[in-house]
Amino acid sequence: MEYTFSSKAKRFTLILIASGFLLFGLGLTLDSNYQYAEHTGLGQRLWADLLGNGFFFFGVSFGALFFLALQYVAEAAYTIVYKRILEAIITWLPIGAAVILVVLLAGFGHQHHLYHWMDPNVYDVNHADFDEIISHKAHYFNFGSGADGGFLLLRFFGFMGAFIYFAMKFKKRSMQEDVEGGTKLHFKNIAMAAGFLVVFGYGSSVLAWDLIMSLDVHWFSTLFGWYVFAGIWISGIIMTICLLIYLQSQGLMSWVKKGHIHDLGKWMFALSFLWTYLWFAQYMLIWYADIPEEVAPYIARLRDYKFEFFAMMLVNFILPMLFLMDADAKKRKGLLLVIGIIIFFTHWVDLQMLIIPSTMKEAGKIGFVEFGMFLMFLGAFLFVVLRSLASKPLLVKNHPYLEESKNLYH
Amino acid sequence: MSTVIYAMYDDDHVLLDGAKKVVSKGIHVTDVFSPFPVHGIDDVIGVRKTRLAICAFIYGLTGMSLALIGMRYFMIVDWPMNIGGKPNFSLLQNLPAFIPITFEFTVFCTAHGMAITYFLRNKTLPGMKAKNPDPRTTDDKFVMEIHVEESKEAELIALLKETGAIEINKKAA
Repeated sequence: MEYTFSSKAKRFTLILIASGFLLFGLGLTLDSNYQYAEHTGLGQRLWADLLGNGFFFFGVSFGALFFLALQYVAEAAYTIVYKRILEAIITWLPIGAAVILVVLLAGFGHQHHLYHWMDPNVYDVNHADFDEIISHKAHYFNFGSGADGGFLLLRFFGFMGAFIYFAMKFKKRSMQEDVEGGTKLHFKNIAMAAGFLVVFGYGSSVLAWDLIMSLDVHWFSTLFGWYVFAGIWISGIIMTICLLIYLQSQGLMSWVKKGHIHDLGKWMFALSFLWTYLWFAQYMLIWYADIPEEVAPYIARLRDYKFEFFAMMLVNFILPMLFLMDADAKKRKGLLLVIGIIIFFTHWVDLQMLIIPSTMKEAGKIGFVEFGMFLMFLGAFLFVVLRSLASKPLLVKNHPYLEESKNLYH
Repeated sequence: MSTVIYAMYDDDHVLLDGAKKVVSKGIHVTDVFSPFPVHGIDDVIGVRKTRLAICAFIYGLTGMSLALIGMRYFMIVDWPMNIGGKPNFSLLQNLPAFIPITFEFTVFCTAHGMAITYFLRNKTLPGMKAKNPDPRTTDDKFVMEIHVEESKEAELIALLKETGAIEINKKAA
């Protein structure tokens, strides 16, 4: 059974992009008299949105890649029947990385001022803009004495290159396995997945520090990397669930039983708690200790973004808790789809809340411009993923756990 | 006059297949006794859905309310304490400090409440007399309990033997 990327589905992704574009234009017109703060103009806002959406959708496929590798290392069978969906989602990885790279390079070209540490003056003792805290962190970002960003770019290219390499290799090996069969390739995959998880363990945290935490360059939080990663992971799982439900509504993937859906529902439920746990652990310790340099970013969020900040946390926590607690609820596709789409969106808001208050200060907002860009990215993401999905058979052929996975549930 | 048949198995897969076969003949399996949970058996013999989850929710809600009411009384109303300059005249403003204890107490009440309810419902509280038909079901044997009319008894025993039962005992109901 193969999925064909029907013209109807194609039209849907194009409508997403087009309506996103319209909203984006509408937002720009409505906000044409909008008062931006000093140092932050419309350009800054658009670059911040590009970073926010680029990183979010990069994260969706990054989460799927992590989940895929996890299944190899755990030698788990329950995901094999929908493994091709995970492999389709990771197709976006290089595109997401490219968007982030564009934002970084534009920063080095001084097209925007998202990253304060990219300003060479902050490292210059004799300059009025000299910043002692950033100058102490100079070697974390730069090779030389200026703001060359060499060390950061080295990490970025190293980790991104490794992740894209692993993603391509997993996809290639999966097709190879369909042809060759046997278990030799499978054991090689387990070793490769273990290697990936080591790189991932460092890389996911380092990328979160470099790309997001360094927006508030004076600030640091030790669990920031895990916090971002928890959001990434649940977004990847939700995307998997939504695609699976879509494919089943097309009459495909009849081999995915209720139990498999239940498993994914459990992941969605559990990861909501992981995310909330990390949110709270970070918030409460900083709130309780009340150390000036630690609370600064939270003050910015509580002062100017109080509603978005707490509303997205409560939705991300309470919605899955109340509606997905029951075992039967986790098997109901309609409910999973509705809750999934809502918290997918609020996890997007979560990421914007990490970026916009830091880059736009009190002048930022989540308006039509941001929604529009989200829809454009979503449309493009779905287009790429569905096209990749249509190019391969929906069921792996010679995976050693395939039979077990098929017969796991009745 | 009906009798109770106890069919003993020594493998959970054989038991599961046996139960499926018996149920497909339209015979109602009253209960299965096993040393560990047999995956899928509750669906086969049609055990009613557990209501333990509802109890758990109520216990959790009780724990959460008790923790919040208690802390509000101890820390806000009765003797407001200044800990690191935190707001001590408002439960809501000081909520982050109370969340960990609320969480722990919710889990505490839910877990204990569920365990005690489970033991009570199964009549297996410490000191209660064991009611399983054969003590070997607490070790490595599995027993299927079936109530049957005396006239159909011989037929059922033949069927059970066919499914791989290693031992069959009867008891007057």
